[in-house]
Amino acid sequence: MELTTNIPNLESMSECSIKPYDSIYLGMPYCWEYEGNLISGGDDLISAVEVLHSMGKKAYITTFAVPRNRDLDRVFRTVDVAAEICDGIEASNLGVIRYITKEYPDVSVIAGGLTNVYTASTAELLYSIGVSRIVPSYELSIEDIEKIKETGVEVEVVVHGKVPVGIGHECFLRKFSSAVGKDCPKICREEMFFRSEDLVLKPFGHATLSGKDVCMYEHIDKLRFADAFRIEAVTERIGYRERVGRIYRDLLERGFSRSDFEELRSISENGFANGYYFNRAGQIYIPG
Amino acid sequence: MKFVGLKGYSRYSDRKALTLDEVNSLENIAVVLNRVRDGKELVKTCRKIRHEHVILNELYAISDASKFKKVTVSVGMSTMNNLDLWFYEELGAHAAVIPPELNDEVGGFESRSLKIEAFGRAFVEMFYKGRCQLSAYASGKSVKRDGICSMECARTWEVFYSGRKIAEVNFRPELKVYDVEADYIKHEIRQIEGEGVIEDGADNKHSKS
Repeated sequence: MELTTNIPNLESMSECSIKPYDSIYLGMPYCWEYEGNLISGGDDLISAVEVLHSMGKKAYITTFAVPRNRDLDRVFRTVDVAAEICDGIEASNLGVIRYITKEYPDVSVIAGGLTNVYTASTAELLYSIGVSRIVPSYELSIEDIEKIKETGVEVEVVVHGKVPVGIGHECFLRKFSSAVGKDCPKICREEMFFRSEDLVLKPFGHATLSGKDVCMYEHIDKLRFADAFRIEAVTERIGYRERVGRIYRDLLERGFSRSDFEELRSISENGFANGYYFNRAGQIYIPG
Repeated sequence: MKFVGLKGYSRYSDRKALTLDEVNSLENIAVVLNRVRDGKELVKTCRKIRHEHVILNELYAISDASKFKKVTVSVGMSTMNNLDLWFYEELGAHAAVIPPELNDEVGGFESRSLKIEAFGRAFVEMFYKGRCQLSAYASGKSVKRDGICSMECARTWEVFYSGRKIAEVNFRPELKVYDVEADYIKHEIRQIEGEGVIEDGADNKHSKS
């Protein structure tokens, strides 16, 4: 089982935070302007890949999730570099996916969770054009994901972290620049949450994430058919990636630990959810 | 051209959608199957529709149904750029609907044969159409799969930054009218009952619309 996570910039890339993982997705897919974003150009991306390879880790490179025409030149530049140096490219835009599979047929292409792969038939089509791995839509149940896996494509599922509940044309944090006294890119250095009764959301760049952490620690055996487990940590504070990664590495190698589970609880500022794995509202948590 | 929702397949609930028999008894319409279901099932259903033109929201169905129908790629597929257009063109689609947020960029869209459909009147929502899972997250009702939106966006949200409440906000869909040029102009009215009211959200206790 491959354990993966995501890292937005070099600053977040300590050796400790990488150690528990087999592979790392590099770059922040929700915002170009994020400070030090590895997919926004510059030599940092090459350095990051070199660091990962020197540690024996796989380096995947992500791409901006909702590219308009004006973004394509930057996407092409990222893909051109990525194709030379990395072990796979993640994209969530169908056009970009098709571009990579055509222009770089030897590169592994991962359809990200925002690609909206809901059905085995869509997975089958993407697999037939060269997509090697799919992160199914976050809205799918375990049974639906199993059907996607049956098509032969590799499947990666989020086992822990905040998942996107939507993505749009604007960054909601920027709406509050004057109230906060900070502007882009400093405003996302600290966390913003939207709260309404039982619901909590975390706006971040063009995406809005679940405020709760999806946690499948207690249910991990139900997902063992997948090829990779992802810890979503691209918007998280320092320490989160390392602690959560270490706990899931131990789970895979040594089995369930009550104290580790309690530690996960203490890390999560808004509690747990199971996402949509059990065909329920995404924000509900069903204990194991 | 009027787009008519097929019961069981339409994204904005079944309340205003028509049965297959009703759809097949009408003239000069396109049939909307923009709820995400298994692509092979969608193609089978398309075969039962006597009209030439359908609107679809699932990649396999878009590709396969294009062999025998005129297929418009639903706005739910979130066509964002020329690469998307070229992919849909490669799959044989007839047209693609562009999200209203991209209306000022329609002139920059280039395709060889694919027609561009833009909104002349549309609700601009919290997220791109087809990219919102908030309803499923909050209530388990999926817009994309069940065709039901519980309009959680219209709640009043308290905004916290670094643990401190700084504001309140809501993301109620906003009806906008555009002066836009494209091959087709779409006027979104299906989900409107009264002006500014989306039918599925009208009864939501959090909705003030």
